[in-house]
Amino acid sequence: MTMPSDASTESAATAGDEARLGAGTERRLHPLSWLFVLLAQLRSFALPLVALLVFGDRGESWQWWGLVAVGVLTLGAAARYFTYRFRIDADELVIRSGLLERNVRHVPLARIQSVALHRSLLHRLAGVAEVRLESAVGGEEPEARMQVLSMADADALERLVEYHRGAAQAVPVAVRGERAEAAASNGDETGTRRLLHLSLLDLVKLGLSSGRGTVLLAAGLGALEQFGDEQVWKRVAYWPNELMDWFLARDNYLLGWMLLIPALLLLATAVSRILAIALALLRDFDFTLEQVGPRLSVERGLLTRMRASAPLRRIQHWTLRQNLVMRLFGRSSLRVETAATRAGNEPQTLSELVPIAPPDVLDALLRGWLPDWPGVFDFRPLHPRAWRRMALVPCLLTLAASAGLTAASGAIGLALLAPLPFWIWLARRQSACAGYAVTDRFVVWRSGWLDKRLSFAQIDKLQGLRWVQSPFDRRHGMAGVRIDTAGAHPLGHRLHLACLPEAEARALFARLSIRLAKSPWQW
Amino acid sequence: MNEARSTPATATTSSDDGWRFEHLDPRARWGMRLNALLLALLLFGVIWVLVAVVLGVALDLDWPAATAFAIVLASFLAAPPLAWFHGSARWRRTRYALTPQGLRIQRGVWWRSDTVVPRSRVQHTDLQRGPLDRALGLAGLRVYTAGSELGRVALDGLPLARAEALRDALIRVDDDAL
Repeated sequence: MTMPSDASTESAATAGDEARLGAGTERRLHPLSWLFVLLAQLRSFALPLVALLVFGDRGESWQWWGLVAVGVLTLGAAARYFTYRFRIDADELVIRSGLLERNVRHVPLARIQSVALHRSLLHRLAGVAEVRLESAVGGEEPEARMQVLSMADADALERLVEYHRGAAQAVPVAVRGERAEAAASNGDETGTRRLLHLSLLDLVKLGLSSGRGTVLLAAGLGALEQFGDEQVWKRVAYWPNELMDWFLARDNYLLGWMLLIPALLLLATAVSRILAIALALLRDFDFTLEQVGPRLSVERGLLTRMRASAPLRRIQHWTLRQNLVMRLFGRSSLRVETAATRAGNEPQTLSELVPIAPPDVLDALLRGWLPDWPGVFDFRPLHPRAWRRMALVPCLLTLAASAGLTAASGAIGLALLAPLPFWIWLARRQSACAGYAVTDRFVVWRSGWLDKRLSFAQIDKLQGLRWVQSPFDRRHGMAGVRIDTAGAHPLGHRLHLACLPEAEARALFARLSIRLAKSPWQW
Repeated sequence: MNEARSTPATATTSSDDGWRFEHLDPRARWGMRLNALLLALLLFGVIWVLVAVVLGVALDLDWPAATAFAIVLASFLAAPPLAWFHGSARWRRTRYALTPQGLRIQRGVWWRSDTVVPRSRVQHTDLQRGPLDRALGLAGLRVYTAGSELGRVALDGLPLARAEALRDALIRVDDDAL
């Protein structure tokens, strides 16, 4: 980062860079740009082209088609060169591109997080570079990919971005944030503090409470089904067969099944839990959570040691989880979602911060990390009829299955209606366990009855809000508020506050949008 | 049909929390109707193929061919008017406002939503114009944030001048670039 030590030379330098890049007038990329676009495209067509050259000599038309394809690609690359224009306007980068579907992109220079220069041997020979500019927006593609710029232009652009970033953004937030965090960690800036270590007993408990073993068992049985021969199956099915034969010989078939099915279920559970314990030992052996200044780091693994770390301020979303087995042991787990930049030097994303720990230990950790963490919240309940919505989908599916079976094979299909009361009872339990809370600093959403999850995020780090209402919601006077954070895992426990009373959802939406607008963007 | 060509941004309505909400350009209705029609045809096609498979193969029921043909034909004939009404309704229910907090977008006929993209969270913007947009003087605005579900919020069918004004109002980061 360029620290503006001497303001006049600094601004003169940026003025030079701006002038170099056209200063407000539109520029094209490097004249050789089309060649590099073409080469990049040809790389993905390399295999078919080679195949054409090798196998295509019998019919001459194939080669012609290859030539036509290359010609079309060249035209495309040339069109891209002629339609791609950029300009530096005061403090933003404006890119115009596209021939039919035209696009004008405005990227404020202060919002660009990283400038990556890519130079292959060919780039270096031609004295050019591919420049990739990335902002905090997630996704695979960089926000601006300039293929290619001359080295002098690329350097000027890089300096300009660094200058704007330094002047506008990085200094205040990073330093302020880290100072606050350093203060929170007792002023211990450089020392490493070990926050948590998992013992073998913890790992056994972790394995017992994890569902991963079941997945592994199912995968194993699937593989056996796929690849195992009959001998293997005979061996697997030996004892069940013997048992059934024994009952069959005594003409007590039903009793045999009534014993066999629970026995098999018990066996499957036992095997899956043993697998899960083994997996926990393998994955999380010698799990250590450390804090180095404002950074959290996790190291774990028996054979492969994994290490992941992230600055505390990068954590966007927290989820505390307690399933049934964990509750029996008096334990919880904590997962986090971090906003990782692709070009950054984060080797691994930090997600399972605390696989298993007593709730009071987790609470103490959270208090250390988040100075305003209140620990307990005043949860607001859902709409009184929220259970109806939660029961709706399973009930409809059950009705459909029952109707289908009844149509196909008569009255026996009505037996499928049996789970209906159970769905309703379950939905009532679930709606009673769900709720939300909003404080000055946090939004919290909890849900689940046997598998309880509680997610929260700092309001300053929220990215957007959406109020939603389905037709069912509207009829019952409900609505939901979805709260968006950066780096969200699609399968995670989202802050999707559902089945709120409509007026409350409206008020919450209005309150949060004002609160969000007032808080500056942090990264 | 009152397709007011001369007045680009029409029929502003105010919502319960007092912001001036605007509708999209009236000509954007045509795009929405066309989308609805394509979707309806696709949906009916998929539904009838599924029904045919379930009834014919799985349940082995034998329907009179004439009745089946009449039902399918009727559904496809009903698609254009349905699409017309749905497209119009979608246009009517799509409204946006530039509030002090940021960009508000309300949309949805059955499943309704109200989105706010805070000004301070906007990372960059796109103004996209296909051939049809250019012929009609329309533009689509895309607002990008660092979020996930709302990482990219699109608002299509704006008059070009309005889209540019919205973009310029949203992208100013000097006030809160902390």
